[in-house]
Amino acid sequence: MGIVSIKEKIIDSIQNNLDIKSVRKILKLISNPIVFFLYGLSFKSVSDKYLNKYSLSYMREVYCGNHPIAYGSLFIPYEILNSLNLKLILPEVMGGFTAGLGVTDKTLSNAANNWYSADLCTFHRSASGAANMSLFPKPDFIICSNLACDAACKSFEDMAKKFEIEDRFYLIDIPYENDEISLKYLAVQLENIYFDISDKLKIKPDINNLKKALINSNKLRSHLLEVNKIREELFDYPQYYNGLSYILPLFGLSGTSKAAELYRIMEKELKAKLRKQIQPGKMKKILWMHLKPYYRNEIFNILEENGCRVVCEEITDVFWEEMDPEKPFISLASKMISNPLRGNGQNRINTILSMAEKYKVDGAILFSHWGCRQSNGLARILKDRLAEIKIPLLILDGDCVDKNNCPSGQIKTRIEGFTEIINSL
Amino acid sequence: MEIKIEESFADSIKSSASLNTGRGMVAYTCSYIPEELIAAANLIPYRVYGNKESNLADKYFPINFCPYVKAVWEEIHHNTILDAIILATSCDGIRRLNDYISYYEKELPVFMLDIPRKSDKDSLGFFAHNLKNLWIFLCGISNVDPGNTDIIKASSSIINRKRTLLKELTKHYEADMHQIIKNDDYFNIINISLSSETDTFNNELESYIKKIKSLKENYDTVHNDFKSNLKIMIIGNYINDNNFWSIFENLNVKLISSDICITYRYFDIGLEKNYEAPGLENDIFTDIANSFISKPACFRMADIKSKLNDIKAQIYENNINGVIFASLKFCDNTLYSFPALKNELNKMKIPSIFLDIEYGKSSYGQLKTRIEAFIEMLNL
Ligand code: SF4
Ligand code: SF4
Repeated sequence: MGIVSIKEKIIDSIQNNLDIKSVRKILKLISNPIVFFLYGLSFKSVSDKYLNKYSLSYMREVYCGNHPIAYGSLFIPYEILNSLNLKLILPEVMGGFTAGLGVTDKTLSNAANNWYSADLCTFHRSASGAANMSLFPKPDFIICSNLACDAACKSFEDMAKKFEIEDRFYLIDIPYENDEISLKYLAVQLENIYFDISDKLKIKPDINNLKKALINSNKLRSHLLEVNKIREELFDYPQYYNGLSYILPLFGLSGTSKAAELYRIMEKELKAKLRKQIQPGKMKKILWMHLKPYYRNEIFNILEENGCRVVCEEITDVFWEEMDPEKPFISLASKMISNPLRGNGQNRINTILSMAEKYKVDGAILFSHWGCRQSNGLARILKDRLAEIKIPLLILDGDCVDKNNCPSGQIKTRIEGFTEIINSL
Repeated sequence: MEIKIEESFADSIKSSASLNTGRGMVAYTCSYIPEELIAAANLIPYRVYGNKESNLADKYFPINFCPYVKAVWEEIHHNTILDAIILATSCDGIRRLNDYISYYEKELPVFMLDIPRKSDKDSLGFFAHNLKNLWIFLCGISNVDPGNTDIIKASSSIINRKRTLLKELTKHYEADMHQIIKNDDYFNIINISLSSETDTFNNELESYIKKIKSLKENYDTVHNDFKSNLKIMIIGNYINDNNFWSIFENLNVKLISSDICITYRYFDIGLEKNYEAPGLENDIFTDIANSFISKPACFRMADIKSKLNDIKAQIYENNINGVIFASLKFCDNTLYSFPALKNELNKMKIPSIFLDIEYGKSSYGQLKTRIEAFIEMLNL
């Protein structure tokens, strides 16, 4: 049986048996050493292979039913949750995952039947549908924040209500400003959550575990800094490498030694590529904003075919300082508060402008995911600011999760039009 | 006898339209922004209504963006008499509006008031701190000494009188089954209260209520035909749209306990009490923060469970027959809250409909048909 047909069989089976039991069975099946060996052959890069191997064994732990489970939104301090040995589901990432498996038609229609408006972000709609359909293990805790957007606060609270764990629902209220009072306000919330969850887990909080998590997180940070530095020069990427594929380890698994290891491997792999790179490529350099579609699509191939390569993504930028493990809560608060998607849009604009300069990009693409008010709302200013430094921006309308909301013909035409401009500059 | 709103509130309407009061004007966008601070700084608080007609905002914001944000942006573009604008961290849409004002309308001073989503002690202290910063900002606009916080107390008492009067008006409106206060008149009066000079409005509202009372007494003795026998609750966000309210003008319904930004959430704010707790400053800002954080919550705030409990209590207490959930389009905070609410309403067997409102650009004919069909169904 070829690799492609194994993959197709697995996906087929998931699409036709949508429940938690079949997800468990499938996870078991792929983890079989022979199947996994064959499956692993389809990865062209060492980092991708490591990521998939690790994600798979992690998912098995999540689904095995022996560990307390927490759902969390993207930018919360996962160092805390990982230090408490919670197994994590990131519904937004899972929204992307459902797209990859091609089951979003079903999850989105479930959400629609449960009164989720089609005007809302599909990451959240699909995740809510999947949670309703019991595709994820039942959570013991739900933690979310209004970073980067309003969506998680509400959709996660709704899930907490459905699972009847309102007393185990935590909303981290992210301040608008970045000053001492705001930082303290945030740090106190994080500290309360840490102790409250420990209490509910009936464990004595071991602050040393949290410190270790911060040390791991710092390691990840320093490898990522190196990775990004390499990428300033690198053209010759491993095939299919895409920084946006690493959202789970970068955020959800931060604080674990495995996530730090993944970034060490990535650094090594990309460094080796850079060493072998004979001459700077002729490709035009593109900065990517927001996320990408997580179903099979041709966007990055079209770019490549037209002489353009994504060399940096806003979301993989290292925006936070090294953390002090001796002051875990204030350090984690400071990491959260430094996120450029928080507060004033100027934070994001500054990050984009400095990346554009650092990576010497020729153009930028903002993937305008349907229903993402926080990101798309800034598009016009981003376009104007980038134009000031003579960088064209393509605002590419689409949907990261729902392929039906992302007509491929239109996308192709728009990218080709854009690359023509870039190549003529 | 019909009481004409334009006549009863002529001076109030003039006070917001002509603006020759000699005082500056500060626009604000959210019911969590305390008008008393604006008024104390000798400025007229103006709940910005927005320009709903023009299409300039479409060049700036995506198509699927809050129509209120767009309308405000539109108005700011054309409004040259504003001294400042106060925004609140209500939602991602308003966060972006702040960016647009700061980038494209540099001349207009803007302040972003950070409103916590929670109501615990730490959030309260944080909110009080932010209110103090707002006060300093306002004093800077009008050259008032920020140290003189006594003027806030004086201003609070005027604004609180307005709130008390609006509550009284609501009591009469909700109890009045003869439609002496017509549905659209009630919402029109609230709209006037949002942008007029407070003292003028208070006086006019007081006389209006007197007239209503005497009309009602006479009416009750002569008539006993009930015009409104169906009680409907409207739940949603910033529904402040005369075209929308006029749909209800001649309908045989009463809009009770509406849970939207311009009704109870706007005026049901307790007179501030001293709030003392270890670690909190015992000052006027903490008191105001406390009053505002304990007012009827908007969907943006955490704790959907207690929000739903409040709504359920209102439905039972007032024998509500049906709920209209009306949301300005693309409002994430409100749209994400609907599934939980709909579930509760279904459990209670309360019929409901969901309406998307375009704010000024809605197809009112279609809305009217849907509302009429809903009411017909309730009548069966
Ligand atoms: S895509 Fe936008 S709206 Fe959706 S979860 Fe992410 S930040 Fe929020
Ligand atoms: S209606 Fe909703 S989206 Fe619009 S400004 Fe209000 S809270 Fe924001």
